Amino acid sequence: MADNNKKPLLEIRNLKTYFYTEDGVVKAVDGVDLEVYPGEVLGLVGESGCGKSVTSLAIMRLISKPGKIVDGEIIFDGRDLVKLGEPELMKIRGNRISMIFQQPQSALNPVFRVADQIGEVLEVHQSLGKRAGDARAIELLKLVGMPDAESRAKSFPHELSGGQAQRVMIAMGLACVPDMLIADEPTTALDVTIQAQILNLIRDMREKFGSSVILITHDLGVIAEMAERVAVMYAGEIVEQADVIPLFQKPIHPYTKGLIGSIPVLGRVRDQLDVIPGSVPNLVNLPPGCRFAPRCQARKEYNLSICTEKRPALHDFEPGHKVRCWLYQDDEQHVAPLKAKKTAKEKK
Amino acid sequence: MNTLSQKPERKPDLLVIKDLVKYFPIRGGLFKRTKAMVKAVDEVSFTIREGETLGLVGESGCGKTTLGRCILRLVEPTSGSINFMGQELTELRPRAMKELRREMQIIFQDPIASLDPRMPIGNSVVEGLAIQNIGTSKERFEIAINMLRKVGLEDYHARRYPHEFSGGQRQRIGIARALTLQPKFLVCDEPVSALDVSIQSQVLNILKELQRELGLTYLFIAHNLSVVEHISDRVAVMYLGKIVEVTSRKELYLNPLHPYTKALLAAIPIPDPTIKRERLVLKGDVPSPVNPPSGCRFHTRCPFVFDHCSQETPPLREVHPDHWAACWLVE
Amino acid sequence: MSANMKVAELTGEEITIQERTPFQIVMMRFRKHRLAMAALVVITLIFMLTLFAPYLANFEVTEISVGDYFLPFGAVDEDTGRVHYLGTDNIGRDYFSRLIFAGRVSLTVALISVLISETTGVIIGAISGYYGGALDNVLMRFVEFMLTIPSLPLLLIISSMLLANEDLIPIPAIVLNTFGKIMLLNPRDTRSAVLIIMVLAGFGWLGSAQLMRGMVLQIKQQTFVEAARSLGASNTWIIFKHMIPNAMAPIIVSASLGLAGYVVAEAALAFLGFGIQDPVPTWGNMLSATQTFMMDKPWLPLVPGLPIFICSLSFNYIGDGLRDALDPRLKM
Repeated sequence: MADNNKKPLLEIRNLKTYFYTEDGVVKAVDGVDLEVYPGEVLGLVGESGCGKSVTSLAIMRLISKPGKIVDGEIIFDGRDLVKLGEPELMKIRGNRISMIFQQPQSALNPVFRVADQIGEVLEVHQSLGKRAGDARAIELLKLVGMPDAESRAKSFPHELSGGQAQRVMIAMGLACVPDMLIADEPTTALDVTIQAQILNLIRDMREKFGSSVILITHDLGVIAEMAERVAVMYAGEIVEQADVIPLFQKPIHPYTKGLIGSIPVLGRVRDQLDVIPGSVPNLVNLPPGCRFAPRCQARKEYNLSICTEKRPALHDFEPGHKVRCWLYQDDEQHVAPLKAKKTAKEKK
Repeated sequence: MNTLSQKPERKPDLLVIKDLVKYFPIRGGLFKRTKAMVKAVDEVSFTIREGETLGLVGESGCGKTTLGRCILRLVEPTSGSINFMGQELTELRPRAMKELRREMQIIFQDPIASLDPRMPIGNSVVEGLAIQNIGTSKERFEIAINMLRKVGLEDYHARRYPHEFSGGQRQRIGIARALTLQPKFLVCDEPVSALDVSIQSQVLNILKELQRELGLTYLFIAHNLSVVEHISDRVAVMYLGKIVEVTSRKELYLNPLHPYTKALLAAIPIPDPTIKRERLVLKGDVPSPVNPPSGCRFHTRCPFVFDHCSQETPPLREVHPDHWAACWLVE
Repeated sequence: MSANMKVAELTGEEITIQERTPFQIVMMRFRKHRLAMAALVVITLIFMLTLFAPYLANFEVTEISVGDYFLPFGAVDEDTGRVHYLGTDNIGRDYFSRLIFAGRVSLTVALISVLISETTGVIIGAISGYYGGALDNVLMRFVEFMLTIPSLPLLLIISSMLLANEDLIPIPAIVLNTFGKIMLLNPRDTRSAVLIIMVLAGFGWLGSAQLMRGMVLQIKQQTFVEAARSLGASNTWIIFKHMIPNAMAPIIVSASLGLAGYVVAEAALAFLGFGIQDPVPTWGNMLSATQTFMMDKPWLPLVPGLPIFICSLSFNYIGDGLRDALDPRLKM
């Protein structure tokens, strides 16, 4: 759980990552602030194009042309990753921060055997020789629950099923016992029964190694099962951030509310699902003001004009519960309708 | 209460499928000889009643998509019978089949690939009418506009091309196209799994509204049990080419009989962090449909497996009224 | 509340997408390609020159001014006062007039060859790819076999055979008349031009058939083809309404690159003496007739050589521009 006395392992400040395309500047990540504490599972949730994957690639400094980190700091263990050069980054990538991807089969090199690929990581970071590397690879494969690890170590990626390939990716990711594991939609390409296996594995591995995990997904169910703290992203920014239980029990941002209301929940059949009208804005032509304003029902309900004029800031609504919404934030000309109620209650 | 009213009202059958089989040959070698068979659908029988939604759920490679395609004869079944509105589809000649296609339509998973990028969507929506030679092109355009309105798009959209639409809008165009021929029956093949979470509910709600308004019957194919449960009246669970359980959605959730259904229910992450469930995590992967396990196909992963399971295939039996399951443990 | 109202409610969508047809997008991208635009201008100019050749030429193509051999650029004919803009050739014919009439023949041959070969290729490729099976096997093995044969020697043999025996392939009078009018040739010379077209197109369709087949195989996998089938569409409907429109982009590119190839191929045949024969001018036979003067009067072979070079280069640039503009990977 978020312990504010602890020093964060990773601290992202005002991260901006833009892509310079033919159609204009795509503001994929536009001012993200985020902390990850040692040993915690942080869920990063949002729809496609909200910038969650770009954020993770920025942490790994894997943004390539036409993308660019234009502003911000990514402080990992006291050092700003944005300012580091390639040689230093290589010492961090795969060693202290590692990443697993959505499509495990395409993330593995098709012409190398599984053991060689795991061995490569160990060779680079721990200067392990071929034989020691192979032995360690088999050990790691056993650790991630690979059935028949010895023979699987000799297979090529195409001989593995999706779930097995993801196990190999996790084994590679954990080979150097990293401080942080970034899992970008690790189960989206997998079947539900395999997803359950992989989620269990990630949970076990976290307990065993004590690494922090950033779990990126669009699936609120996975978030609810796995994460301790959650950041909800929309159109390149974080709109709400809280511990997992408050986030699901009393979400406060209209987008989070809409998202939670729009998914069918097993065993709780409703006649109609909630709907967030419209679709995600184009990241080149972002609306001025709040990016969710064009789709926001609450804005209409409270008849707020500031939403389409000025961008709200991410601020503390309650300790540990941050939100970016004018419903809860005052401004010179604007009195937040919901925050006012709450302070009145507190005064009583 | 007499016994009659306790039984749920049973509507007439619209589609009756019996022992449907689809094997895909794997060819190889110099003379393209058949080396093996992918047993995609293997002796599947079920019924869809008029006006209901039957959900078909299963993991990738279980044959659910092939089954949907077989029913529409987009894929020719290897054997078995498909009886739709009293007509045997597998025996229909091409001309009669073309006629009958007005009654049965399909919505696809990938809203991008299912629209021709070079065709204005107004034309795409009424392509069925043009193919079936219904109306003049002017009348068809009117119908296209009406259909677009029905799924929540605007008139001027008719002249635009697919690349100008978002995923959710494209899926609505796909729904409009399927409905212009005024079918009775619609196969929805993973219609929301390619869509964003906030868009899924838009499309699901539209499907429900349209069903109510037009009295449609759906076969709703998906891998996501929560979505299937939301939209279906009854649910069929498929594993490796076989249906293992069919029952009403309520019964399926409250009283699942087949161990695979139980595992599936347990594996679905629930978006409520306060619920801590007993986890029944299946071991291993789904076996290949080329060489499915003998006997009960689930026996390699089943936590309750015993000797008999690998020897004989359990039949799909009506265990309780309207609750069918294929498992030796269920009596 | 009716379904319509509910549905309309959830589409308060801000539509920020620009309204452009695919054609407009292609044109917009093509215009950005400077070299291709320049090439288009050049090609248009050359086309205009050849199209208006009868009005621009101040001499007859076969008109020989006796004694006025090797006249320099801009020389004036003493008897009539007409200007030889590009001088005269080795037997005293006006070089400019011959050049623009030659362009008419060369470009017509290239254009018609492309038209025939691409159409044939598209149809055969589409059928082969769409129906597959044994038919596909036979057709494609045949195409591959043909492609393994080095084409120039074969072209030479076939064209010399055809040109020597007038009755080997009878050509309908209507074809001869039409082409004769386009190229302004007499029936005999038209016949050899038509034969050259047939020879060029006869080999040219192979590549586009392969290209089309590949495209069709790819499009066949797309869901919209299945959607059309579920609506009851026949094979013909699918091929003509979906396959061909979607495969057009690379075919157009290959056609424009093909034009360049045919201009050069026709010139090569003529240069080697197997194409359309002097006195009918083509760029190729003008080049061939004057090659012996390369050393002392280099402009004579250069003048017909230059349009071959420019046309081939321009068609290539236009092809490049079209490829960039039509590339479906750029969100088409």
